[in-house]
Amino acid sequence: MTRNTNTGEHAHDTRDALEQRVHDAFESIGPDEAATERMLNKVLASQATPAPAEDAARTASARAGAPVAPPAASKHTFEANGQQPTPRKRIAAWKIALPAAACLALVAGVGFLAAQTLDQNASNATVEATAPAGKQTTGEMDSYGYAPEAAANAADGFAAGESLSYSLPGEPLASFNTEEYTAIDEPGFVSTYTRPLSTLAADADTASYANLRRLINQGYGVDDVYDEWAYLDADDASAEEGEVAIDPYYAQSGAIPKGAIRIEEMLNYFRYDYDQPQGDDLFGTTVRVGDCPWNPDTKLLVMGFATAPEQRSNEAGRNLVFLIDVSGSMDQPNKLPLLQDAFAELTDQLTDADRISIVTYSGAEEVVLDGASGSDARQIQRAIDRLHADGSTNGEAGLKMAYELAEKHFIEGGVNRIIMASDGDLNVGMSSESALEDFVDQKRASGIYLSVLGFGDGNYKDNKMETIADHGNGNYHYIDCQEEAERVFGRNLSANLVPLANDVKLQVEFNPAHVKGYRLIGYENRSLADEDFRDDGKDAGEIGPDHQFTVAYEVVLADSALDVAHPDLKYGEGATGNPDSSDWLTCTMRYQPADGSGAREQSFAVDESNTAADPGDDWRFAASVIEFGMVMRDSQHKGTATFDTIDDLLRSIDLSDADRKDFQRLVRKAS
Amino acid sequence: MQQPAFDIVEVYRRQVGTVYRLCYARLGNAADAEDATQSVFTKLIEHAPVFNDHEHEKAWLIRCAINHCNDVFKSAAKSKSAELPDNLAEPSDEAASAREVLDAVLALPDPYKDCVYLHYYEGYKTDEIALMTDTNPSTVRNRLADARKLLKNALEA
Repeated sequence: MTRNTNTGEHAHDTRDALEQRVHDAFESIGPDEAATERMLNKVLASQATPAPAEDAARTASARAGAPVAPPAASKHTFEANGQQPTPRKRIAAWKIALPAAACLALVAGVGFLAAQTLDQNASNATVEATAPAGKQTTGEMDSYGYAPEAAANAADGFAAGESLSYSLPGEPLASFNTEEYTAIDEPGFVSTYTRPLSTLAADADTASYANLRRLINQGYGVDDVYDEWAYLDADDASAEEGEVAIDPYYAQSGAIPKGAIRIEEMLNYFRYDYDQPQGDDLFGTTVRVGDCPWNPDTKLLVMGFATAPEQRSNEAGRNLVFLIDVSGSMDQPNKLPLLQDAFAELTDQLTDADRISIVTYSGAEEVVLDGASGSDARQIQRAIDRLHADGSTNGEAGLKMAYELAEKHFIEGGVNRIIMASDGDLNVGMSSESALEDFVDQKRASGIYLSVLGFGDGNYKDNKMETIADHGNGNYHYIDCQEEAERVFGRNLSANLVPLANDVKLQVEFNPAHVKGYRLIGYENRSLADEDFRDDGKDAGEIGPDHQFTVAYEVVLADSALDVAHPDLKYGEGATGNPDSSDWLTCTMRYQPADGSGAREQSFAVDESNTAADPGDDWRFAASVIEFGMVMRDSQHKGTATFDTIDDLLRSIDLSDADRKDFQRLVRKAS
Repeated sequence: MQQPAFDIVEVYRRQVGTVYRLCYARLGNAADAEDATQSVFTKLIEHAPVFNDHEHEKAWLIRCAINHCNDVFKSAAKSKSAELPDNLAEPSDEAASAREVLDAVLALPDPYKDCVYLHYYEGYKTDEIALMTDTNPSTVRNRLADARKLLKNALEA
C-alpha cells in the first residue's frame, strides 16, 4: 500500500490489466494440438479396454439403469457403492429399477448366512492348505516360491465367504466407490440399576478421523452421510415401488456411511494436556467433568489416559516386516507413491540393530527384502522405490509370508512387528472378515504385532483393515496425505512401533446411589463383556509409549430430570449403590505390561469434586469433536448440538495447535 | 459395454481446454495435467451421466476435475512426473510474461486457483463458482479478492 502511488483510475486499469494477464496466462497453458490428440487417444483406449466380466456386468447394469445389487449382503458389512440412493429431497434425475437388485441381494444375503457358519471351518482349512507351501524359504533377496494352486484351492473353498464382501476379481473400477465400512449400532443410555458396569477395550487408533478428513476434503459433507441401516431397511420399500431416485450429480460419488465416523478414533487423533503416569503406573489419568454442552440433563465426563514417552533405548533392535499391497488397485497417486514416501520417513530413523523385511503381495506374494540391516538405508530405499502396482490381491498369502519372515528374524526382547499397508481390498482367497480375524488371532500368540496402514479411496475396505489391526494387537492408521505419513512414521514412530502395554481394558463401575444412567460415547465396536475384564486371555487394545486415548461418558446423575428407563426386575433388586460413598464411579484399568511382568491394575474414583464450571480447553475441544461426530452421524443423542454449537465451542478455545485448527476448518467445510 | 448417451469425442473436443487448464493450474505441470485430464474424461465415460446441456456437462467436468486434483497429492504427483518423457508440452518461451503470471497463479493456494481460473478465464460468476466448488459465494468473493492481492504483490515485486 505504501509504495502504491497510482491514482484511483490507474488502480482500476491495473485491475483490468491483471485480469487480462491472468486470462492470457491460462490461455498459454494449452493444451496444444499434439497433447490434445495424445490425451484423446488414451481416453479412447481406456474406453476400449474390456473390463473383467463381472465388473463389466455390474458396470453395464449401472449405466443401463438396470439393477445394481444393493449391499444387503450383511447387516454388519455393507458397501458404499456408487449407487446409493441419495436422500429423496434430491431431484429424481435418473431412475434405476430395483426388483432384480432385490433378487441379487437375496442371493447375497443367503450366501452370507451360509458363510457365517462356514467361516470358522473354512478359514482353518485355508490355513492348513497353504501352510506347507509357505514353508519353503530361500536366501536373502530371493523371491519366495509359493504354490498358486494352494491359494486357488483355498479360494475355491472359500467361495461362500466371498459373496458377502462383494470383492470382485481383477482390478476394481477405480471410479466406483466400493469402500466398505462396518456398520455401527450406537448404544443409548444404560441404567446403572441393571448395569452398573461398563467394560471396554482401549483403542488408540486414529484412522477414522484421517479417513473422514479425506472424504470431507474431497467435497463430501454432512449431507452426504447416510445411514447404512436405514438404507438397508428402506430398500424393501423402494423395491416395491420398483425404482429409486438417484441424482446423477451425486451418483458418481459414494457418500459417507455412518460407520465411517467413529468418535473414539476422532477423539484419539488429537493430543491433549494429560497428566503423566506416577510411580510404577504405566498410565497417567486425567479426569474432567462439566455440564454436557448438548444435553442440559447430563454431565460430560472425559477421561484421558496417557503413557510416558519411551524411556529405554531400543538397543535390542526392531524386527519390522512391511507387508505392502502392490495390487492394481494401489496404482493411484494417493496409494503406492504416498506409501513409498511414508516409508522413506521411516528408513531415516533406523539403526544397525534393526532388521527390515519387505513382502509385497498382489496375485502372488514376493519377498523383496529379507531382514536387511536398518543401517543399509540405500538398499531399503531402493527396494521401496522399485515397487509397482499391478495384479489382484491375495492379502492372506502375503500375511502368512510376513509372519514367517517376522518369525525368522525374531528379535528376543526387541520390537517384532508387521506393518501392513493396503487399501484393504483383499479380493482373493481368505478375504472375509471373520476368516482374517481367525488367522490373525492364531498368530497373535507368537509375540508378533501387526499394524495396519490404510491408503487410498474409492475402494477402501475400512472394515477389513480395522479387523486385522484389532485382532493383531496392532494399531490402525489411515494415511491420507504426506503430512499424515510424517505424523504416523515420524513424530509418533515409537508410539506406533513399540508396545508398552497389551490388552488394555477399562471397567467403569458406576455408583447407582449418585448416577442413574450413563452413555459410553464411541467405542461401539470395542465393548467387552463385564466378565472378560479379568480374563487375561481376552484380547484388548495395545498401547505404545507416548500414546494417549480418551474415553468419554455422558453421565446422568440421580437428581437429573432425564429419565433412564430400566426393566422392572421380578426376582429381587437391581444395584442400588452406596449412598455413603461420595464416588460417582470408579474406573479400573487392567493391562499386561509388554515387559512380561504380569497383569497390573490401576484405578481412580470420580466424584463431585472433579466437576468444574469450566473444565478447560481440552474438555471443550473433546466436546466439540464428540458433537461433530454426533452431528455428522445425526445421532439420536446429539441433543442441541449443531454445526453452530461446535463452532461456538471451538471459538471458545485456543486453536494454536495445528491439528485443532485444521479440525475447525474441517468442521466448517463439512457443514 | 453400454454406450453413453453422448459422443465422447465431441464432449472431449468441447471441454478439453477447460479441464486441462484447471488441472494444470492445480498440479503445476503439463505431464500431471495430461494424466489428470485423461482420468477426468475416463470417469466421464464410466459414469456416463445424462446432461441437460453443455453448461451442465462443463460444470460436471469442472467438479470432477477439482475432485480428481484433490485426490492427486503433490508428493505423489511429483514422483510420478519424474518418470514421464520430457517431450510433453510446456508453455513456449515467447510467453515469458505469461509464464511469470502463470507462476504467480500456480503459487496460489488450491481453492484460490479454482476461483481465479473459473472467474478470470471461464467467466463464471461468484455464485456459480460457489455451486461448483461447494462453498459459499462470500467465500468465493473473499478468495478472489485475496488472490488478486497476492497476484498483484507477486507481479509488482
